[in-house]
Amino acid sequence: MKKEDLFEAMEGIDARYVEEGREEPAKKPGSWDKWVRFTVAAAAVLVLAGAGALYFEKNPLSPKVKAPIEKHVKPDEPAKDIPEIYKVPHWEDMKDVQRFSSFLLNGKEYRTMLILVHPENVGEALGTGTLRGQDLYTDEVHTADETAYAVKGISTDAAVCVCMPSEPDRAYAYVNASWRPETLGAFIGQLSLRETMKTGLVYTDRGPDPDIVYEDVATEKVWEMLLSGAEDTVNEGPDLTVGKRILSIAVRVDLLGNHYKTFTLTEDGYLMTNLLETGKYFRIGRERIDAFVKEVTENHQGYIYIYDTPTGEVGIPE
Amino acid sequence: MSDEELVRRLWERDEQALSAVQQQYGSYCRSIALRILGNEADAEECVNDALLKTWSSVPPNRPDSLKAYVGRITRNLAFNLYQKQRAGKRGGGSFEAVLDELAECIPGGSEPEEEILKQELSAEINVFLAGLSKENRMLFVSRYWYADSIPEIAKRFRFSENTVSVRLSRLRAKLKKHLTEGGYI
Repeated sequence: MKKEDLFEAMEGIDARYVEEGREEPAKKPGSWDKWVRFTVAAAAVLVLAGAGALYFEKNPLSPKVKAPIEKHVKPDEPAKDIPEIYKVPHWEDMKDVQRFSSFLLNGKEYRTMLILVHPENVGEALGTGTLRGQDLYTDEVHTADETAYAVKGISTDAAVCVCMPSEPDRAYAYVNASWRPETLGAFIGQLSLRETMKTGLVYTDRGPDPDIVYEDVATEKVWEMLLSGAEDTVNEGPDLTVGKRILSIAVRVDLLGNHYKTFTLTEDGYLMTNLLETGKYFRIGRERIDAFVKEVTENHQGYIYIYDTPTGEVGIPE
Repeated sequence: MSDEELVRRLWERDEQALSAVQQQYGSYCRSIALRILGNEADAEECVNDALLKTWSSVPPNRPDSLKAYVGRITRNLAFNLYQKQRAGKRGGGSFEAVLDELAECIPGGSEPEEEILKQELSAEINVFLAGLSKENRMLFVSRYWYADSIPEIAKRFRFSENTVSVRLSRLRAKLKKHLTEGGYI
């Protein structure tokens, strides 16, 4: 063993220890510190008393908005068939779908999202394309030819699915990062969103402060207030300034398994989404957005999530 | 912005996410690279490469800790560059002192050319670190992961430099004992 081996092996230590190495060391208490602690405790009482008033004073929404409630939640489980990643993986340690990040077919590049497509949704064969991946340590490029298949209900301009060399019975979705539907109507139609899309949590975007999460906003409300009647809206993306984010809506396209993305509403009146990894910006107007925000914030209870970790520690999401 | 949010945006191929990663972790990565390479120009190049590698590897990877992930890539790239630049030269530099200290942890009788499975060694080091107090672990990681200098560590922990040197020496002896008992001879 060489000293360099030991230094390299240090690279693989637990990510928690890496982060811990940059924490502020615990202060050693001295007599002066006792006075500081007393003063801080006294000040904290005053701060807490003022916090409630300050929240409502700064809250730009109507007085009908209820104050958010703290809620303890468990963090999401990682995808079961993809191992948890604690270090930069070596080529030999990865599954094929992790290795081959892109797929080339008929001049288009599709990128993996590690999403399994249900066998029922695998469509007709489209021809042979090339899987491509690069070893992050050696920079060596690896390729493999495989057959592409359509995903039923989704335009092949948007996505295809491919079986991996080591998993011929499982098809993974690869999405076309360059796909740019011309209008919101084309976007909805080419992904069959009316049949395939479900919406989930809605959350305000408050920068460094914890998001306020709304749990029970119906998908139908999203269609009715944001998407219907706006089908001719042109896709203006991707090089665009859209203003600050106001609200985001988690969306899921069932045809692509656990493919979770968001619709985000901005202060300049845009609905933007990276559903299927492509930048899309539809200017649906501030009026629609304000009406939706009002509907959500005045008629639904908001929560501030506090994530309980597996060790039992409690953290507040940043 | 939280790591979770950054990783989510990287997965969405949001070009602004990479700028956000650079803003959030650029200085952090630069300091890692600088301690290993010793000059700004090489460190800057290393950080740029690390950010590109992060962009091209997320997806398909989804790191729990983006900070550790980007830090690891930077450290790996910096060390590779350090080794290439050092070929043919002997000793010198503050980072070389970090490596020389680690040499003390290598159990006696171990042949330099012996193939060591890096993953196994990492796992053993994790076990060793788990058995330390938080303060000792932070000291060890600061010196041998981040390659912080002794004066820097002394200032951050409010110890004298001598105290830092002595504590690190004891920790190295402890790691050597752990590796010896683990059969790395």
